[in-house]
Amino acid sequence: MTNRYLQVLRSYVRWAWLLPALGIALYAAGVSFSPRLRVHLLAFLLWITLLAGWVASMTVAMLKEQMATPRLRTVPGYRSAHLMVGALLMLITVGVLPIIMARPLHAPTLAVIAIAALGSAALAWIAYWQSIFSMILCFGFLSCIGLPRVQEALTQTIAGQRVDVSIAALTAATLIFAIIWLRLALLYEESSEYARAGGGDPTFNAHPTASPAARRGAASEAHWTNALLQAEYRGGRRSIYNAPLWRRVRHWRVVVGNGRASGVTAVMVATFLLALPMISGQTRATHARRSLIVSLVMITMMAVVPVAIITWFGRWRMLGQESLRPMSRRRFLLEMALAAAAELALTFAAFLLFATIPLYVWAPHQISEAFKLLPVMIAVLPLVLAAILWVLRARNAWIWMTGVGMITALSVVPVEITMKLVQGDLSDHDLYKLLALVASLLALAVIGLRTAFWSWERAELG
Amino acid sequence: MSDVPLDLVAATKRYRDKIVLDELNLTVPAGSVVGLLGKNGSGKTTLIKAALGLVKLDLGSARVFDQPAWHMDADAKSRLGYVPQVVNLYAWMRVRQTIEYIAAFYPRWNWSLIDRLLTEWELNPRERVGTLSVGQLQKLGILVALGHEPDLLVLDEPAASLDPIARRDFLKALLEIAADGNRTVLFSTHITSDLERVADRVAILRNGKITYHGELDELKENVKRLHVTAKNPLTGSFNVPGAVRLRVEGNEALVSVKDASGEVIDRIRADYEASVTVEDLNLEEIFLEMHYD
Repeated sequence: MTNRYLQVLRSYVRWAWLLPALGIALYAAGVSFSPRLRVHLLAFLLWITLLAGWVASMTVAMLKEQMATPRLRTVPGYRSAHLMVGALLMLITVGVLPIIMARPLHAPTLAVIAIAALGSAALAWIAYWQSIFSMILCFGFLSCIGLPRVQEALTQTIAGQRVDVSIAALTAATLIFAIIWLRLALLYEESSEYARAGGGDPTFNAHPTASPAARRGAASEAHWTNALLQAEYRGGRRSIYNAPLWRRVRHWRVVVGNGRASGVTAVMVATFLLALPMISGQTRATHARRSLIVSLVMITMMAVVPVAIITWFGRWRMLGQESLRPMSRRRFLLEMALAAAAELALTFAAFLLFATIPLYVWAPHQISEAFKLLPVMIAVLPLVLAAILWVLRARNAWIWMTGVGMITALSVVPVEITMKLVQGDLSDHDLYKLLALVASLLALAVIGLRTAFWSWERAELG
Repeated sequence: MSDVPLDLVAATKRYRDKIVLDELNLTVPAGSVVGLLGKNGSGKTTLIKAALGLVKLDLGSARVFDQPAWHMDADAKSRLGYVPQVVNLYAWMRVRQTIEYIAAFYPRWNWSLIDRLLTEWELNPRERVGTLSVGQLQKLGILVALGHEPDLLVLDEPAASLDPIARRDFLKALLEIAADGNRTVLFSTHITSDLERVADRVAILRNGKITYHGELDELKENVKRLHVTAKNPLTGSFNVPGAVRLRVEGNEALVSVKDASGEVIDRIRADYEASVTVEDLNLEEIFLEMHYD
């Protein structure tokens, strides 16, 4: 390897990449795990896939961040060195890490690599395109793991009975990675994805210069998909200087440009859930209904976070200027926090509202049961908000991405309880435990919110 | 209501081991147009950000309208306009939406001024911010800082991205604002000709300290370049009080002095049996002389 390749490799060795690798190494060294139930086996496999996928998506995001620069075309050998090093890192990520992690499963190597590679490819695809549609597409694809047929196929694959599935998954993953690498090999300033590097979709971001890429991003506003997602801001010449708090908070939310994004995404998710039992061909089976409720809670909780806050990261650049609007610093931070909270609450409400439709169609008798979960789901939200505020405090895309992953992981709490509930494992005694859980979550949220606000008050916004 | 729009006392700011502002003192009098000059990396932007409470000072104080910059209230902020070096605005919004969005925060907004400037500066209200050129974006940044007619306008290299026509229009607008007499403007720039055109005061920042702050005319009146021709070769001991730059070659010397008073000139003539010619300097030359190491 020449010095050039070493230099490029060094630029990828960041703590954000090393941290999961360290976690995986510790895990592989210390754990002796022998899953007995199928659901545990699949959950373990999903966990491995998500972790490998997380590293893969960070690698692709870093790769793109380094390549979507003028150096790509002006520095000799820059592109090829990055492509080579990126490919090497990706091979380690999807080839070596899952094998280390899957050691306790005693599953065929090909099966583990194939499943991890496919999941990683899906997350890498999101990291590369950084668009809400790629996100919906990939999360929809990943959520297929909830389908009984898919679960059956996965179980057989891990048992080494379905080599054809392994080969198909590996082929699909290779194809996805090949498309990403091909796009990177052809990337130039006017490529549609060029501007989407580092901190999300620049269309929504404040941008410092009128670069051609940013212009393209802004020009894409005319596209019907964006028109559908964003409600047009009507503006007007009314001052909000003396307006009530809720109007001021609503005004702060304007620039985020989410508009109808939450509602549209919620409708798409609801449609997917509505079709889920039909896809699995088990519209009458009880376990299909149970899967539906679990999927509903999982998707609602997991999708709320990225949909609600993905556009807030780009706001950092503007905070200095925005903090000079006529109000005290404390008031500014409070209104901003409330605006983020409103974003989260409205997204959650939209998801919840539309999610009741498939529930009503496929499992009408379980609606009341499902709604028992509502306090837990709602109690998680303030904690999620606190975590969001902490993550937004970090002006670092990698901390942000890791944080989003951790926040999403918080959603596991209601999902776990849902699983117990639908399996009838919850006794009356457990309901008291649920109340205690709700109280604990809220108490944690209060501490999290207070400390996050305290930290923001000391932040240099310039 | 305080008469001092902006006051920095012993302001000190470090970034790790680098001292950017070193016990800096600067008071911007009300009604003045102060040009802030300094080399790249001299701390102009940090000074401005500290003055506005966007970064926190390690030591010393920054006050705006007699309030701590870090804790300004709504009233002080409604009297303040700021154009950052890099204008960040939301790409997806239209020019009109951007102005209306920002205008809504303020208790009053001069729409006729903004509408006029939109026309004069040829900004299309229907255009998306993301499709604007760098210069147009800069114009929009300036425009939204003027709408609420601030008592204190702080601009960080505002004309850097503007073409000559836009720069002329911008300076015209700045002069109109300054003509009011009650408004105060602080702006940093590298374009000394702009500063000479609009500023009545100048502050020169070097090594984290203000090395000169005063009337621009006074600066130009006092800082001169002296061409000294002596009868005998000038030795290494040749020295002039207040010299900022000294070049000696044989019996000739070029000396830039801070205070080129008649007394100083007479003394050179007498001490070195020399003829002295006094050369006026423009601001750019003064800046270069004062930054000579």
